Amino acid sequence: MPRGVGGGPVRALRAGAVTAWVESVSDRSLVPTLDRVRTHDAVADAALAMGVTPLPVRFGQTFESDDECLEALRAQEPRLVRDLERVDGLVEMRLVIALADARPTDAEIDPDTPGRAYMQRLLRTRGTEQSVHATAATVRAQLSALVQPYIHGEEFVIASSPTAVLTLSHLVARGDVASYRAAMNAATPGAHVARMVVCGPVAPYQFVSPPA
Amino acid sequence: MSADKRVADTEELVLSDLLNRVLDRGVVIAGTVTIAVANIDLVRVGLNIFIAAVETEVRKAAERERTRGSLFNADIPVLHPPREQ
Repeated sequence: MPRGVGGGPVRALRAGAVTAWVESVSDRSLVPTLDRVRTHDAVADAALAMGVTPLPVRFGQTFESDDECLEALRAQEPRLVRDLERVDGLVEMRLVIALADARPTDAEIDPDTPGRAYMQRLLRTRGTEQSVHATAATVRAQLSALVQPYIHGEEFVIASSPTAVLTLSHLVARGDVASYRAAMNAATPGAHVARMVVCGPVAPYQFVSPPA
Repeated sequence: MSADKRVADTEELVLSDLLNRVLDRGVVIAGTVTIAVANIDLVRVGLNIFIAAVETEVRKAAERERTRGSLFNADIPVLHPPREQ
């Protein structure tokens, strides 16, 4: 078993149909340093490497005792089993795409009239968000079409500030990862794409149900 | 664009993605989600995304509070002010 974010060994905790990998920590206030974030991800990678796709948990969840953790797991068991069945045999591939400048050109802000300047700034912000979303939709459609035969699920997140970034997540069968990568490496990003990185395979962070 | 700049941009995207998915995605079981804003140097590159992740938790907590009428919730993160640089 790998080491956890607190430096201690990770151990398995069985709760009905699911098994959780947990670590005993002395301090429940886990500050998310870069090392800890990487360690957390490495534990998920280690589970993924065992051949059974796990559900990665969000960083920083702690419980008073094993019993409290088991109780919470049992309460969530139907949802967890449903999600595990959905991702069985699949992994997540992530395309992280910095979009080219999508800001709309608009009129100068008039500094002499504060009320008008406020409205102009508001409209500019809203216009930028709309522009980023429109660009992201175009890029998403183009890229997804290239890997359509390998996709078993798709999710996306758009960040418009401070820089426009589209994160496109695909559920892909383990056996199709190489083909997926080859298709993406052969892709010619359009003018809307400033930079694109293919990440994965990772545990399916983006494909878990929200808490009840 | 220089090769160094391209590498730096790529590393920044990869790091930002790591922070985003680990801090803002994945299963929420219950218990206490404790995210303290500190040690900003270590997350300098992905700071905006890191803060966005914290803000997501705060927003969700506020939504839960509105719908449940409860002041406290186990999922509300503990927020400490950032250290002075």
